[in-house]
Amino acid sequence: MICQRLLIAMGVLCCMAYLIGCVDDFDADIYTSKEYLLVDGTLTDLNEPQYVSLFSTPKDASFKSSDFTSTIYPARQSYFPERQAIVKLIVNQKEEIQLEERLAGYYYCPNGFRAKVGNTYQLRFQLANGRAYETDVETMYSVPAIKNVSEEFNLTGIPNTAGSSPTVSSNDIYVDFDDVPSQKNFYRWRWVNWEIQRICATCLQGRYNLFETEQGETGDCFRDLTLKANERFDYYCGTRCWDIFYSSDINILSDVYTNGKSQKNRLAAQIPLRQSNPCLVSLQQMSLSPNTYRYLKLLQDQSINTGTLADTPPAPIRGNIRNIKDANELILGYFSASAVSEVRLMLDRRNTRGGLPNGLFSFINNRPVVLEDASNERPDIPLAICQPSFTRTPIPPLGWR
Amino acid sequence: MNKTFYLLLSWFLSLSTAFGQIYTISGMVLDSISKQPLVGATIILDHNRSKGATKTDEKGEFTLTVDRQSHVVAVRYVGYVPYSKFFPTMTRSMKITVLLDKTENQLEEVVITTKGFDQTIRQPILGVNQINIKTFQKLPSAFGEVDLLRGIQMLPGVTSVGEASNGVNIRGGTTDQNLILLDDTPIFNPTHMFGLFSVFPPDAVSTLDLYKGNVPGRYGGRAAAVLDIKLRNPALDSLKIKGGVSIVSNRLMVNVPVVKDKLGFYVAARGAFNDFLLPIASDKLKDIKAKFGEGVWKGFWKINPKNTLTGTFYKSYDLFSTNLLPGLPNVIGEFTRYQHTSTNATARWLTVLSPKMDIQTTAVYAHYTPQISTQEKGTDNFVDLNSALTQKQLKSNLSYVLTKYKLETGLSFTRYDIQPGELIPNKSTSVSNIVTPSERANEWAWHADNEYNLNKQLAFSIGLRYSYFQALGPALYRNYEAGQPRDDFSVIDSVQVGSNKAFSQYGGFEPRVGVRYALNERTSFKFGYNLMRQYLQIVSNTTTPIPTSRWKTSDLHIKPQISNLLSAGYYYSFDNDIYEISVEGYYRFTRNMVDYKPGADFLLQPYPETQIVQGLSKAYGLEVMLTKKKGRLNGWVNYTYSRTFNRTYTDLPSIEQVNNGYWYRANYDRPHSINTSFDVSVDKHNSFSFTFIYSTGRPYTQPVGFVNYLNNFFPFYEERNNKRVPDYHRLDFAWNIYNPSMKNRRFRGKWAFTVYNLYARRNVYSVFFRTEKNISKAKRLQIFGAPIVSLAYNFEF
Repeated sequence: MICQRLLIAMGVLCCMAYLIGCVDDFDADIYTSKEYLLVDGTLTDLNEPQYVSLFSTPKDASFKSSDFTSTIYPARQSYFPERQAIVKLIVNQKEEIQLEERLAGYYYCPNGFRAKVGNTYQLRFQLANGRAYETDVETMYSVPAIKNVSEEFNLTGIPNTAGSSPTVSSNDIYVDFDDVPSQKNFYRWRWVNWEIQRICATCLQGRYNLFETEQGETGDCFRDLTLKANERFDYYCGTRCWDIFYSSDINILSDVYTNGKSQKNRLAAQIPLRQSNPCLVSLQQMSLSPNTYRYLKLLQDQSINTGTLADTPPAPIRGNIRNIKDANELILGYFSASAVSEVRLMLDRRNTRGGLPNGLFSFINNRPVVLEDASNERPDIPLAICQPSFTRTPIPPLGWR
Repeated sequence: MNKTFYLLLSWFLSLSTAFGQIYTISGMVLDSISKQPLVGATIILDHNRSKGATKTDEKGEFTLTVDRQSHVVAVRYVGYVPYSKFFPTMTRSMKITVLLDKTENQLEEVVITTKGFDQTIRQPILGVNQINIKTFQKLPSAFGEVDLLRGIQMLPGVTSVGEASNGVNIRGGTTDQNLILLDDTPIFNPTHMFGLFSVFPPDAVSTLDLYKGNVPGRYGGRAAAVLDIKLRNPALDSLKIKGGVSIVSNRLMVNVPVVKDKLGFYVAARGAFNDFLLPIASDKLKDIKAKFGEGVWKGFWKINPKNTLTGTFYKSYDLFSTNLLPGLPNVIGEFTRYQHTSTNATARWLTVLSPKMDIQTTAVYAHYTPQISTQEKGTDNFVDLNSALTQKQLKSNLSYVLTKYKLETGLSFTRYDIQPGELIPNKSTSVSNIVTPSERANEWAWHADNEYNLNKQLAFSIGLRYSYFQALGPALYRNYEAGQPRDDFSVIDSVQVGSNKAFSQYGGFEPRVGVRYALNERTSFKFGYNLMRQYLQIVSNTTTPIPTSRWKTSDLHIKPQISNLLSAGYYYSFDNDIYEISVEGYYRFTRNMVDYKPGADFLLQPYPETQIVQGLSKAYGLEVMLTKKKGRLNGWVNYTYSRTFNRTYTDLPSIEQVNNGYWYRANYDRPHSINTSFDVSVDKHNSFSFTFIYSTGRPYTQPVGFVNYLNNFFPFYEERNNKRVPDYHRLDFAWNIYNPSMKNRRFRGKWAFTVYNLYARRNVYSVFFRTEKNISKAKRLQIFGAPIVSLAYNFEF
């Protein structure tokens, strides 16, 4: 009897095992011989700089995934900024706005520019090599306001890419909103998370020093050969400093089944518990055009599939950008315009467990902070500059309390 | 002296009887229903004409002279199921009465792999296999469940995308291009548990006819092949009970003769409800429920010697619920339940006008209802997505059989009703009730099949079908700007069509031609041409259709699929018909094949044409098969070379074209495959079976690169199906123990011990790339990565 039960259990298990999937890593070696243009730009009505970026992926890139190196790592730093392109934004198919390259590959709208609901936007640009491109005309749709926000601590959390633990606990944020009955709505949620960062610089076989330049005081690591090759020192920030994290999941919804209904408990953000300090979250509920939704849905389908036959097989994802002369050129990325309903909320994180106070640096780098000890030669260890970038700011973010 | 003389004489005479081979087997051949003698039936001794053959006389009687060894007597008559009887060592002359069953209007029973002797060589159609359920029962099966769909994949030209595929691909056709009939009712979802088991009740199935080349004119509606599965008729003589237990399911079949030789029925059912054990196995599985089952009732009433009435009722059910698979998109929920039910019924009236002519009238009903439900987060409410497909059919066939000529002609009317989807919120306040417009269509058909044996060398099978299809209102159809992608933006206008008004019609002839030229009794060449039209298809954006995939009738924008198949074959049998070699080649060209646009979504889509592209498909192949049909060791080995390519129409806008309008491999394009199946009977009680399968890995789409985008890392793709998963191979083993008590009792048991995937090959089912939190990984999914040992017990009395 026991034997029969065991057999039954085994049988059912095997059946189940296949549905859950016996998944392991596969040895793939992918070589990309061509370069591809990558366009990234989402205009919004938020009070912040509006820009698009133009980059090219490297030629002859090789991606390997095997039993040993099962992870294909990103290599964004190896992308080439498309510099000195002529980039124009066409508003309502008549008004032309010239975009200005402020950082390599980043083209900014004039200061104070905000996209407006109901307007249409189109991007036309010509690269330095002469190739000319244009995007579809994108309409900016309105978005219902976030009505209510609730937050709960999720101990099991989400997969962790930093550190040794496979998962990290998270603060999960849910939103309620009323869908607009009279129109088709497509939503996307994204978030920005500001975390206090106490360590502003790390020097490998070197020491941090401050110095004056024309732009003011700055700082950098200076090589010190008396140190061992793998010796590192970390330096506290001289001012308050925030690291900025952006959502990486594609979180979208169509109201095709829910048109005009109140929506409750939509998971809008999962903020990893990188440390136990309070943090600020900007929660953004964005409108999407139908085509932008389709594009993101396809991207999402292809990136989270499970390998079963219920998956949509991958296909080239053509965005809304095309080479004027060569319709077959595959251009990566998308140009869109979204209205945003934003809620900024401070998480005090009193409901969390397991996070370390001021633990952001250790969490990201998977090692404790190593400070440079004061010595006779260097009695005063300098405090590092909080260097502003896309991922760091010394300016208190709006809503920080 | 006299006494001694007579004694000696009688001793001598008895001796001469013992050694002088003067026994006879004589008998009478009658129609099983009308009891009319069948004149001119062929009687063949030991499957070999040279050992003895005769024909029945005007009274249906025959006599054969035999020696004292064991013999097999086979009786064949056109239009009737062949009969054979084994006579153990002869000790006296025997007299038998043979009752032949009508083949119920099949153009002869066609036998290749089980019991035929010269059928393959002789019949004028090619690419046809008939398989007896007993063959399937001997094959090693996963979890001890007899599986027809897995079984036919041992034949050349039949493949699938992998272990868990919801159907088979036959000679380059998609799964929905196969017409699967269970006692004349169409089966829309042939598998349980997303492809793991087939839905045919193993105890009730009698034979499976697979038509992958010439398809007789009486079949229509699908473009590639026909799987005609016949359920056995209820026995009218005695109560019979059959059943079995395997690690997955329990089975029972009860046959009740209500009025002896007049009225009887049986009920056969299989159920798998062992999922309560899952939590014991693993905590991970505690939220999974998986149940399936099917049941069939069949009744047979011999009204009088000239009329019979047969009724079949079939139901199949699946339930699978989990929090591990994605649920309804755009509904906020975590837990998802998949259910689907098939309800089929047939009623058939056969009236025999004369021994040579009969009319068969059949009413068919099939209703398939898949459902997906998602439990809303934080509530106990399920939001349901229901859909349904109903097919009703009425057909009547007249069959006329002469010695050299057979004619079958008939009419059929089919009505399709499709509810493509309704979203039912139940108690939900955040989900709307959405109804996708339903579809209605009629298909009318006439067919005639003629089989004519011109002479010993030349025979023809000429079939013709005419089918006419009408898409009916009420419907709201759109017109689109020419040359533009069909989408919400290129709509010119919408037209409302009134109830039962035809707004789109298609039709045409479907010739079916087969020619046989026999060089001699052992060798023949055949040639075949087939045209088939398909008006009902699956539209799906998945690798292979899943149970909840949407069925769609043709309409103004979705044109019927039209398939042309040319095939040719060479057949040779040798060593007293013990061995047979067949070589068949084919070329198929299909217009209006259906593929989906990148990003297509068919769920609750009122205008599926905005998600679909149509195009061409071409498939070609060569199939070589060697069969050993008799002896303690019997079985077959075959090799198939086959290719399938698709191409979207070149006049489509470039954004709609798959692969920039170039030919691309179909998902099931697997160039090389080898199948071997052998059964060794050790004695009356033990047999061992082995099957070995090899095939080229199926294509998948590998990214051409990866890109950092939206703070994440995504693969990107250019060419569809540009790589292949590693090759597939597998060895299975079965040990069948018949009647282990070894007593000649009415109760008979059978044990089947099987090992599926004996050498634990970790066959790759799919390769895919998954992005999570800024990294991308290449993954492979394996099913049955270990040997699956199972034990099943069957009984019969």
